Amino acid sequence: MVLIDKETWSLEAITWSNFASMFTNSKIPKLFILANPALKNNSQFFQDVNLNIILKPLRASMLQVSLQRALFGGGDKGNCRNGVVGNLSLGSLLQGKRILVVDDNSVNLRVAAGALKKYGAEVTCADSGKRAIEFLKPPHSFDACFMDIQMPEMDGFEATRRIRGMEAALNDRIKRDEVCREINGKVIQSWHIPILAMTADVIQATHEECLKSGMDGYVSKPFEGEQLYREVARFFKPNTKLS
Amino acid sequence: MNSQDLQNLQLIQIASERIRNVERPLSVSSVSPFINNSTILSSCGVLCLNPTQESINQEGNTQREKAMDVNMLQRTYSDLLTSLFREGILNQQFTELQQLQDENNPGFVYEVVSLFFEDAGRLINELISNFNQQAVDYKKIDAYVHQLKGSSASIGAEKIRSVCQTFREYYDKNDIQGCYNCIQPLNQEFVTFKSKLEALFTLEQQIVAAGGSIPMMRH
Repeated sequence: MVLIDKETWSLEAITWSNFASMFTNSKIPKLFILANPALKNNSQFFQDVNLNIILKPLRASMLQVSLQRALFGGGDKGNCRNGVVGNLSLGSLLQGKRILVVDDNSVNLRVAAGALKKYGAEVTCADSGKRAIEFLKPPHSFDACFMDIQMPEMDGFEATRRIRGMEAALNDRIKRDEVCREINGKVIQSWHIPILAMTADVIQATHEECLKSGMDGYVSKPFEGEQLYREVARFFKPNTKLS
Repeated sequence: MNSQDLQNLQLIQIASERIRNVERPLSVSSVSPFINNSTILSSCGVLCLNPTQESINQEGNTQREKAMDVNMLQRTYSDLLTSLFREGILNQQFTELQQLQDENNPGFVYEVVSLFFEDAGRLINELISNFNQQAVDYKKIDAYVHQLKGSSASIGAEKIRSVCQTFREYYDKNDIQGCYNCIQPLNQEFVTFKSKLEALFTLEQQIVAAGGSIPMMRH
């Protein structure tokens, strides 16, 4: 295993690639490059598929994920369907992502948040549909939302409908050039936060209602590794291809 | 103080410096019988334990007893945890919780299970008091059981989850008697779950206090 801090060597991107290819041609040793997340703007570097990149600061859990993936994951980084590797690749999808988890039950909330944090996500918790709407009124900096369906006062479907309503209103104004499209240095043409329903009873009717209310998919509660990976992979690309 | 004492003193100073720089406290268990001047030791900041030969022997025995205690605690812990899975009180989800615990999240399992004790305790009280009323509001009761089903599933409390499932099935068939028959078992399962998990956590604390590590289980 070779871990190199990118900043200790002043190689150009192309030389990093050549250097890394020396390692990919043989199975061992594995090369990992530790990079500063501020360098995300340097998209060329991060888009290189030959590089195993781990973002600093180094977290033990992230290191474990990356090492296991590299050792057992085989060549296919982002599309593993095998249960074990699917779990491990969740780290590459969720690292650094800002996620809102909504559930009126404090135990469920704590467990869901704990699972997502393990994969490196920054998790915010909300205990009602109303709170979710407050958090997700654009502009905001969340990357995704996991929403419990069955909540008292306002269920997940209604909360989602209202969020989509707010997004639609803002998107109209963006089209008419009435508002600024930029937030946190990113240009947003159209607001649509991925919302995944969390449901204990996964039945067809629920699936249809999820889609009708504007949700993007659903996952079971508690999370099941492969399914979670599959759903999240629809919105997030693996870390080595940041754009 | 002769030159031998001085040399030993310097060695002790170096050792104690290193010990101080280590995060977790190490125990200084045995001291050379030649260094029997406790004043010298105290001046280095070393806890003077056993300056005499006799108490060194006793110290050795105490260490051995302690090691045996830790082993016994660890075995009891492993046995208890294994039996919880075997009896179906816990399921795979509990193992998932244990895997979410790490140095970034050291007390995760204890926190979540404690939350569950509070949450489930409250729900079951509501259930029981609702059933004792003149006009039973079954819709309300179903809502409580649904909550309990969700939270017990989240932490891997399999038996509790299973009784909630059975209740739901009776409710869907409008079988009032069936629903009613679930309440006492639900309470019983919760009481059992709580006492066993509390015992598990107590063992964990005892193992850690005795300087041991929690055995990792493979299922």
